[in-house]
Amino acid sequence: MNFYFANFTEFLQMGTHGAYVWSCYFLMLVVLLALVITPHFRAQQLKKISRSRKSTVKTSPSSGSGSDHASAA
Amino acid sequence: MNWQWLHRFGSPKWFYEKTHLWVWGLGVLACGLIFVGAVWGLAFAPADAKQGNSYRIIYIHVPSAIVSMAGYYVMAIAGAIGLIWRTKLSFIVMRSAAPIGALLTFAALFTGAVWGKPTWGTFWVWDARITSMLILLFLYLGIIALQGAFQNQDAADRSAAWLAIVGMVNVPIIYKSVEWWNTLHQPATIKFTQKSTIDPSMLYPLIIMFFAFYLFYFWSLLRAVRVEILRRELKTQWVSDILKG
Repeated sequence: MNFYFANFTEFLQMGTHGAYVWSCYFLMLVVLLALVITPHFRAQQLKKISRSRKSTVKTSPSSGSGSDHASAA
Repeated sequence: MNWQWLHRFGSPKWFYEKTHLWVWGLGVLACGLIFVGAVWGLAFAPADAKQGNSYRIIYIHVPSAIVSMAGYYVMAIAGAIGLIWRTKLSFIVMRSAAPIGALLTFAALFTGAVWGKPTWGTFWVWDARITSMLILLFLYLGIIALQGAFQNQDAADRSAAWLAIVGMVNVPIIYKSVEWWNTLHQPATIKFTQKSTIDPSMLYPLIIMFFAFYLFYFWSLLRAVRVEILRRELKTQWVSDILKG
């Protein structure tokens, strides 16, 4: 199996189709990266929410920890 | 019949704890295969005799289109299981699958449009395959919107599940559209029952990309499901223990 193109410039040009091919691959890269990054950021957000909740629980001890909700599943 | 296994599998906590290692395995495999398939398809596969190099878009266009359709079944079946057995996890899967499917459908439409320009001379035609694919995107977006329209989580889940199930009729229409209607879109080049009409040197990277996109889909779904579990169970002790660490 060999590199199909004569040189790197030809590879980037893809005949006359470089703009079409590379724009598609670039968009797909953006989409895949979005799918990789999104859960990470959502988890970070939840961490923040969880921490701020905990601090409110500490200031008002009467509200309880709510640990029994885990058995609802 | 003993359905206990189903309810245990439907428990978000059990699922979250059991799938920790899967995230790493699937991620490495999916990203590695996408890299191999993309480099092979872009740089090592020969150019097409008729289309030249524009055909290289096939290596991302077809896998993303196939996975966006298969992903719709995943979402709708998860919704149906949620309606029937009322397992928490199935609605979480349905909810998480919708944005992933929408993004992949958009990517398939975009790459198809760009590929259409040098091949057919136009970015867009209202033919059966492309229009039914656009309907798939609207179904995904509709399900996301419906999920957000309700204050009550249960009502949101149930109505989105019904829409997902009704919309399932569109998937075989997309699949068969190139046979049922006389369209600009070419019929499938890879056939399971007859000889494929694509040369092996072009086929191998495509097969790699099929596997890679499926793996990437399930990897993304798994990660989205795990975060959605944390969001929905945020008030429980086990989740706050995880988020603390």
